[in-house]
Amino acid sequence: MVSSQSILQKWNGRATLLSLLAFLSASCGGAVHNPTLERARSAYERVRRDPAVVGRAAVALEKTRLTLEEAERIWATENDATEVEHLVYLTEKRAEIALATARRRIAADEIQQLKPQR
Amino acid sequence: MSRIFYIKPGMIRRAKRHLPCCVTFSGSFLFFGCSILPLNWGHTAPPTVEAFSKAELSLRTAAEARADELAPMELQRAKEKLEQARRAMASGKDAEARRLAEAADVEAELAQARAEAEITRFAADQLRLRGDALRQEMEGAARRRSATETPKSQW
Repeated sequence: MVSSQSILQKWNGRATLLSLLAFLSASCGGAVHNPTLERARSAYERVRRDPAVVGRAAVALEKTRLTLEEAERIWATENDATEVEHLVYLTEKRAEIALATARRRIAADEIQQLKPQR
Repeated sequence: MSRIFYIKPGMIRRAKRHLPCCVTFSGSFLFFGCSILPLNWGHTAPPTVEAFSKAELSLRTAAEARADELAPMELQRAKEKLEQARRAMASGKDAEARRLAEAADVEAELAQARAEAEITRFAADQLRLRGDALRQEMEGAARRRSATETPKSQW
């Protein structure tokens, strides 16, 4: 009885050690986190969830998505932090362009609606 | 056959004399052609040059869209970035120059987008104000008309 308990304890300890090792290797083996990329992702998500942008500035939104994808690709393949930082900056600016384009289109739609009333 | 391939003996001698010249010419053509080919393979212009021309064009378009008065900060940033790109290019930092030129391009595009949004917004506001004024005027005129018509009906 005692011997079986000691065997169980030994295996339990080994299992714990193995799972800890597996967890550590999984966390270290994955892609390295880049906080600047998060900035670009949130900028893109913000404009993507804006119905005015989706409906009125689709091209600008697509350009934003492509720039973000390029940043993610460069980070995944080349790990070039300077280039990623630059592409993140471009993504943020492209998101702002999408917002401005949507604002212009909203105003243009208002003009179209007001014209028959005159 | 003899008519189709009619060759005089002198012609063969002449061809033999020109053979070294032909070989040298075609050899040099192939060598230089092949050595130049990889440099331009798949590219019409180097990326930095392309980024510079795009930025300059965007800056001009933004200026035409009255960005200097409606989005001055963005336009100023674009100009500064392009100037920095020129300095980086002059000091041989090609990658940095390309990045700065691309940043200038996107800033100029933003300046243009904001300027155009401002112009369109202003036009929409003006149209709405004019419409409101016209409506008020018409309502006032209708009220005045009904006020002048009511006493007549009473009499």
